[in-house]
Amino acid sequence: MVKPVVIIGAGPAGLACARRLVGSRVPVVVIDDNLQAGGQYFRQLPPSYAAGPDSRLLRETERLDMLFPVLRDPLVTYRPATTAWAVHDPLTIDYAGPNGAGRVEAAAIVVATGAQDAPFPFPGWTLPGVISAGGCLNLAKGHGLTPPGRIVVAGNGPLVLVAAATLAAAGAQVTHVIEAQPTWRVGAAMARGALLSPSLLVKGIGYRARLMKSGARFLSGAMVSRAIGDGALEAIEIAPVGGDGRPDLRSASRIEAATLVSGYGLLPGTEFVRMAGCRMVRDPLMGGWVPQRTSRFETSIANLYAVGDGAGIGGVEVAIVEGHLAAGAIIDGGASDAQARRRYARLDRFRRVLSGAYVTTPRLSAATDETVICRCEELRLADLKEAVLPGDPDLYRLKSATRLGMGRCQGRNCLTSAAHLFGLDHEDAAMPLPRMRPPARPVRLRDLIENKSIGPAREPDEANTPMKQET
Amino acid sequence: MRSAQPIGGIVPGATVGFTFNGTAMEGFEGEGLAAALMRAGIRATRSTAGRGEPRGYYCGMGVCWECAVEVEGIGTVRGCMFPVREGLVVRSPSVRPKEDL
Repeated sequence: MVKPVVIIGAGPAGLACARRLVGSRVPVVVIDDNLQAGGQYFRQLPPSYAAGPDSRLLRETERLDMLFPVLRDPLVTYRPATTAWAVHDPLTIDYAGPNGAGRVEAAAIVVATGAQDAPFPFPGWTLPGVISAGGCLNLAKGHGLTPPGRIVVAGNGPLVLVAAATLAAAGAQVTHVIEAQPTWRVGAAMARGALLSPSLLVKGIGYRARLMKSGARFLSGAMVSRAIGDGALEAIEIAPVGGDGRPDLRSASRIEAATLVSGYGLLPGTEFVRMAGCRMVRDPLMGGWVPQRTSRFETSIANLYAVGDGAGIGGVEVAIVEGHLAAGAIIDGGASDAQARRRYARLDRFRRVLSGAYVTTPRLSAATDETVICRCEELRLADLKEAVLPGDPDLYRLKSATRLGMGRCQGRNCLTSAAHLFGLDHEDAAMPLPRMRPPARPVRLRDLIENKSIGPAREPDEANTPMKQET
Repeated sequence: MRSAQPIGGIVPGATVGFTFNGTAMEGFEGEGLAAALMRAGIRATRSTAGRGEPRGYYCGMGVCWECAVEVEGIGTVRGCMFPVREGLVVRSPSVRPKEDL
């Protein structure tokens, strides 16, 4: 039997990759954590819902019609609501979920795991009512809802504008939009990027126009310093961004709000490639630590590819082209891709220009000693400082001493902010994130019992060596 | 304060009944449990094990588990990812104080 290409993630990158592979008669397995395909960008309403033509939900449908039909192709085995929880030699994936568990040996693996909101701790960020920008968009696109009460959208990055415009279009009560960057800096990047991707520029201007019409106040060069509330959010405190990247509390002001949408950047979902042992590199313009890739998007492990936001923040256009090109690399080494590669080169320059406008030195931070850093284990910055032993701090020791990153989210909402707060995330740093061990996400014991042959974990420092065989 | 609102022009699924911490609730078939609770005006859906702090919907994409709830017969699930259906018995996750562990 021909081994399939296993694609992890059914967002834009994964679907674009599957579509091209199937076009060349390559069998594909698509494993996706979500109930429905589309990832975050193309997140769908529940199947029992309908959106009329007069719907106030901003969403793109054109490319859906191009990408979604592939999942019904007989060459595709689509596994929704399923976690790819372990990977081991040779290119073998263990998966589990309510629809069944099992193991699949792949001819190639394409990791298209997408991104999450970067953790950005500030006092009160755990209060109900503080939601992430991605969580806000998913509430709208995935559940047809706008969040409660008066809403403030604050953050640093293009998603601030997207989330605010989506809420405004949906009729939600957005009172303030607060972007940490000064407007001139974003404007300059937009001007530089205009020739590279005019359509994205037009989109950005449209969002801004929609917001101005809604009456929301737009503030730039300011950030959230605190969320306030007893049991749930009641107000937020904002302040100008100081020269040290922290809120300048001398000029803090208070805004009443029931919902704060917090969008301080995106973080590539690298758990799977870190579990596989791919070599990682740090690139602030790509969102931090990302897998090292060849020009064909192959990682340091042969036949293991990484595409889309999970391999470096770039948005939907970049994701689709990367997925398409990775499929080409698998089919014929990319022999027929000259045109797509030129298009990709342009998009890649654009994403770097755009993300460059939002990279700040020193990095933004509003955490105080009393701020929760690890939400799962309820660890405050002071708890972590107390646990740091003399000498160089490192996340492995912090993890051993405190359980940092060992809760249900498995470090997704604390490790990068902890690395930053302890000065471990800089150009010369060794890979600061503790290695990922199976299971990549919590899976039910029942599912593991059905899948007894668990493979050995692979260590990050074995990235370029064949998997050690157990004797 | 107005609670979470359905967006104009969207026709939700059929109304179904479930319970949350013993209270009868209405949901739209297929929507996430977290969304149904938010529409009902419930913002904190659980308390933390250590300090008893309130938590609710946060990341909305299955990453953070802050909206975790217990569904009878199934176990602890992510509220944002688990679709509402008729007859579900849902609770805030039972917490054992850390001293007991």
